Amino acid sequence: MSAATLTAERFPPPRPAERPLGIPEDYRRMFAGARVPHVLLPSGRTAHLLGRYEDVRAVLTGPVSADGAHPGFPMVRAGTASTSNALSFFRMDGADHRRYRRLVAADFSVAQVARMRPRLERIVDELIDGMLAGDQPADLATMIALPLPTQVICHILGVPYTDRASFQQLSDTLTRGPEHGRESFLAAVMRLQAYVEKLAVAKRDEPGDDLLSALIENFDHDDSLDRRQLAAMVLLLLVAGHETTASMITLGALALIEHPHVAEAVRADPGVTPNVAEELLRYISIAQWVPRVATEEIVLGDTTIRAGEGLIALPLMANRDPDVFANPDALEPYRWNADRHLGFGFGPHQCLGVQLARMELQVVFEALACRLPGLRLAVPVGELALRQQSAMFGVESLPVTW
Amino acid sequence: MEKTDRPALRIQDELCVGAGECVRAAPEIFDQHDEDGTVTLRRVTWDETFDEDVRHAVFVCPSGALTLGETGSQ
Ligand code: HEM
Ligand code: SF4
Repeated sequence: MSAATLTAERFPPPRPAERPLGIPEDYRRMFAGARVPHVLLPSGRTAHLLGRYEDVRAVLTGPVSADGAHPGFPMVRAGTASTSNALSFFRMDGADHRRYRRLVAADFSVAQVARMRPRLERIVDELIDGMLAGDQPADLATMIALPLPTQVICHILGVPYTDRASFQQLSDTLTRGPEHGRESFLAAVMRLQAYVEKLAVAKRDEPGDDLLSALIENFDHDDSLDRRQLAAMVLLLLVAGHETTASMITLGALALIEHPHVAEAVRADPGVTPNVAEELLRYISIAQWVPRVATEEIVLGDTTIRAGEGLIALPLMANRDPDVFANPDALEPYRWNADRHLGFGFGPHQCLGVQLARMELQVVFEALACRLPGLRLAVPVGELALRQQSAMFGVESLPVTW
Repeated sequence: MEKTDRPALRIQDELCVGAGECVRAAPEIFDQHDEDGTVTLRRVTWDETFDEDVRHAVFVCPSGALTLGETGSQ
């Protein structure tokens, strides 16, 4: 692209005031001017933004790399370190990526997740009981949204739930914005790695029926696996597994409050809940940026992206593409193609926890709609503290009454 | 195998990342290996009533492991 078209943009652009789930005006403007806007990021790097559904699918399955150490990788925030060494196969490509990912994929398969459903239902029921027994207003984020995925991923991995305070705080440092800085980021990575290593020693002595014990077994018996990946994979699963789902539950609850017809549809016919969960994933699209670097030339319409240039896929924009989703800004419980959304990404790095996350969301949204029909916000929506600067959009807390 | 005018499914399991989207879309046709989560077939032939589900599975498969080829055998 010529330098003349390169504009410095606030990135990610702010959500519209009073409408945290709406599309930023800046995106509407940028995409009105170009199919593939080319922008200067706060980090000083540049990126081609992908907002069309077909472009996002094509690019994420195309000649691109997820390696954050690449000099053209479109790091968004200034001063942050690459997550390449910290987060295992999340930042690998090709055969290496598949090899490490396949070590854990079976634990997140459709069949495995289906077996967990009774456990998820029990946890959700207990959490809602706990909230109902407490004072109003209550914070739905800390009472329900965060404990559910945290308990679930701890159980799968075999990580003590009682250790959650430390890894939640560390993973927060990993995923949050520039306020943390490079030093504290690297320190958090080191501390989390040390934590996982310590846990691994205990598991080796006393293996359990959990993913961490199984992984240790794999690493101990296969010299061709890079040992450093053990801690990195556990770290990835812990970090990717809880904050994402927690954000989606909190913002999903907000959407249910703001669009009563959706909760009403679930109460009338709980069978529609899976589609409602997909529609909420589409509508909310918490993944704010999905960065890649082109490894070959990519042509999209009259834009040519050269090898080595940065790309950022925007699930939020793709999921509101009117060519694919009719009336895209409406939340429609019965939308026929809701499950074609790209809220879990696309291509080889599509969310590993996709089936698990879906099941968690289905169970929790059905329970919220049916058990808390009077759920409402305890503060004006404009007062919610939004996580605008995080790769995963979210809200700090959601004070509710019922 | 018998020639039909229905699209042929091609599986490149070396590309599979075990996301399980195919199983979700067409549970009667696809399954995942217990070991590494990659795709397996529950059956080698199916009747036309499943074609729609198989097309959907191909569309939602993120890795490119599933593609529909020219018309031919199942
Ligand atoms: C609603 C909840 C969730 C959402 C919206 C979500 C979203 C995403 C997205 C968009 C990606 C792709 C990132 C990229 O391509 O760069 C991703 C990757 C990933 N997610 Fe999730 N996720 C969720 C829940 C989970 C859960 C529960 C787990 C459980 C372990 C998980 C584990 C992962 C892992 C390991 C990756 C990396 C996959 C790879 O690089 O191959 N996620 N997720
Ligand atoms: S949807 Fe594609 S990548 Fe996922 S398990 Fe099926 S074939 Fe493999």
